[in-house]
Amino acid sequence: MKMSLIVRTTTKLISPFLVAYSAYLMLYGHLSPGGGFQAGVILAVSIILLITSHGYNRVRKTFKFWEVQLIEGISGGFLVLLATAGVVFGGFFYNFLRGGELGSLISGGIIPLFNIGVALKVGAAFTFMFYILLRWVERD
Amino acid sequence: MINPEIAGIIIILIGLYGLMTKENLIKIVLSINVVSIGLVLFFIGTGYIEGGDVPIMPREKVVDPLPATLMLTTLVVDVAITSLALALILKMRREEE
Amino acid sequence: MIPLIVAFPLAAAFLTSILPALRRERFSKHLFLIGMLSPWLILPQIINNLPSNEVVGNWSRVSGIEVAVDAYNIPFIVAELILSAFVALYVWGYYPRKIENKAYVLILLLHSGLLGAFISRDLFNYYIYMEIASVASFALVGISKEKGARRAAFKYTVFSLLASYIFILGIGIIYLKTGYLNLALIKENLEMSREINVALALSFTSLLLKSGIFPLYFWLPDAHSKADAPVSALLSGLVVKAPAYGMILLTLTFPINTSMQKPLLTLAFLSMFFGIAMAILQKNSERLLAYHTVSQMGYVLLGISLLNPLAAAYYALAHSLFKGGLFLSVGSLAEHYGTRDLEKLSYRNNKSLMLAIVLLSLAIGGVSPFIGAFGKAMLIENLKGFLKYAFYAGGIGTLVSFTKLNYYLSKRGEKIEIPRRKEAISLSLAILTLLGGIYLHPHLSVFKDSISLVIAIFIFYLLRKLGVFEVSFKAFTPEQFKTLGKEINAYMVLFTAVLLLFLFNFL
Repeated sequence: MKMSLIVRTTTKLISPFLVAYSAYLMLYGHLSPGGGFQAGVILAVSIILLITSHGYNRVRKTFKFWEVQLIEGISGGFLVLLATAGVVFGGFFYNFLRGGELGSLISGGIIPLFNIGVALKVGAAFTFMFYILLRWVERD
Repeated sequence: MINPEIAGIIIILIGLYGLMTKENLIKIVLSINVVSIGLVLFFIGTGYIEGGDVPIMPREKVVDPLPATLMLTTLVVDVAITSLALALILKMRREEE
Repeated sequence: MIPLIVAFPLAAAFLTSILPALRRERFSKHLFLIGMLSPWLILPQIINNLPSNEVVGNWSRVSGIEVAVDAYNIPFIVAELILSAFVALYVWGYYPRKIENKAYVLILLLHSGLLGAFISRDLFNYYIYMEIASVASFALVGISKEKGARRAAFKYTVFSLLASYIFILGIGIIYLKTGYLNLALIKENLEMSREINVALALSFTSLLLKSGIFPLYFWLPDAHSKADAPVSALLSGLVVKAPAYGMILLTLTFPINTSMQKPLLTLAFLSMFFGIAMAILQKNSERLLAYHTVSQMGYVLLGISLLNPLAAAYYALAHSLFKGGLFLSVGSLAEHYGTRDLEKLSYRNNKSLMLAIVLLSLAIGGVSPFIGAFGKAMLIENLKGFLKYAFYAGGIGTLVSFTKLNYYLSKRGEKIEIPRRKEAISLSLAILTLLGGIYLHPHLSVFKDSISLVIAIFIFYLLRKLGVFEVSFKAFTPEQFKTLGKEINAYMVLFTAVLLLFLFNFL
């Protein structure tokens, strides 16, 4: 399922810019449109673009199965542990890092950390889903 | 101007018609996605205020941000269940062979 | 502290899913058991502070998500914790090694989703947790090893998803009219109008489909009978109760007038009798129990439509315990015999299973002092006249169909070995129904119960002589449709008809 040389080179060049854009959406999610889910989808698209142009087997050798599973599980556990850590300070999910002026990067408390966790989880989940659905198609 | 709420309900009805008449399993999954799109349009339309602005920093008149957040969650649920339904269709075809 | 009962199984689910990547798969069983039993640690603190509510994150009520535990919630939460503890002990070593890890993650997600749905007091929060539980149950039905399991899971997925979308449409109309999603705030700012009636009609129809009441029952027999035994116990015992809790929340917030109560009351009685009639004609043991769930959910709807939410909650608690116990015991019999046909199963050689099934059958029939009698006594308080006799007839019908089950199971069969652990689980659930009944409602009405039992056994022998059990009923089984697509189309037309009926009735 490989495409021609021009397509392969172009997608290899574009893919890191997609990751950078997704990182911007993750970190500035509380100040401008964006946020966890949108960043995660773009992170997954950067890998799926490589799958459609290079072929499934080649990409699977670089981004291994168990690495994606590990990222997904750890970021999910990180989210729940972050919420439970708030119990010590107040209620469940309490924002225990308040402070900072309005409009700056550190003013959100635990919200940017939450956005990072959600983006990693969603990105890993979408990539995993495409791995599993394409595994059946490629075998025929 | 077309009212977004009326347009949303019409798209939901088109999706329900597709569910009632099509027999191909992939078309059934697509009809459910059409229902979901109509629902999202209906919901976003209820939050619109005339001349409202983007709800980012404190401004005078903003569009309601709550329906957009709720619809994001609904889209996530829709994507997850669509992928599960497609995987079930693949497994059913494999069993028949 | 209340949301912590949702956080512990969720964290355990995520940690269990990374164990194959770390090559430590042999620990998934132990982590699964810790995750399922961890909410019991928080339960004493919740029971000490009844009733309590808090807003997650200590925000104010307008901008936060509210969770609460009070007298309407506690029966559901206690039923969930008891039944899931027993199913967790049953599932130890049930699945083969290849899919064992995935099944444990799915059951943990189902557990946390149900707990989250039962503690929520906010409409959207309730919808989200019900979706988590539903998606986990679709996948659990799909990985079963029966022949038609994938088809049943697909049907269940499509209809449950459609009902969720109609429910969101109803929530959207309520938000458009009142501007809040929190139930306490909606109740303060409520003015009834035609739009709110339309929203109530849409919400009730979708919750009726999700809990399997009469016209919208079609996905339930396939999905609940083709799943494995512990999954069927969880599905029939707990997952169909979450929409009933949603209906209780709606009746507590919005005023329901008599023109809305009539269709619900009619559907409750129709569902009760239809479930019993179809259960009498079945030859598959698990399909018989699944049609029974349709009938018993009619009882819960009866409590809701008479505006008696406490009775519905306690009947739901009773039904979870005995339906879970029945599925676990009959399922372990079916698994070790290798077939689900009623004529080939027998419990004569396993005395403790025989005792468990007889005790559970008496409990589901409403014999005192089991816990079923407590539920029925609470339901019957407000019924008058003709409805009271219909209620008694429903009780006798339940006893007839369970006499059929016990009669077929008590014939001679081959001698097989069932592990002690499974027998102990079924027997302890049966004894728990007896103890629960004595704790909640220590009355004994020997005269009424013995008359009901005698009438039920007499009707059973009458039906057997008439040859009703040899009839194979072609109309309501899914074999009449050639392809899955045509089946979904036909059921879709039925769903639209019921939706329009409710809309024009409520308006």
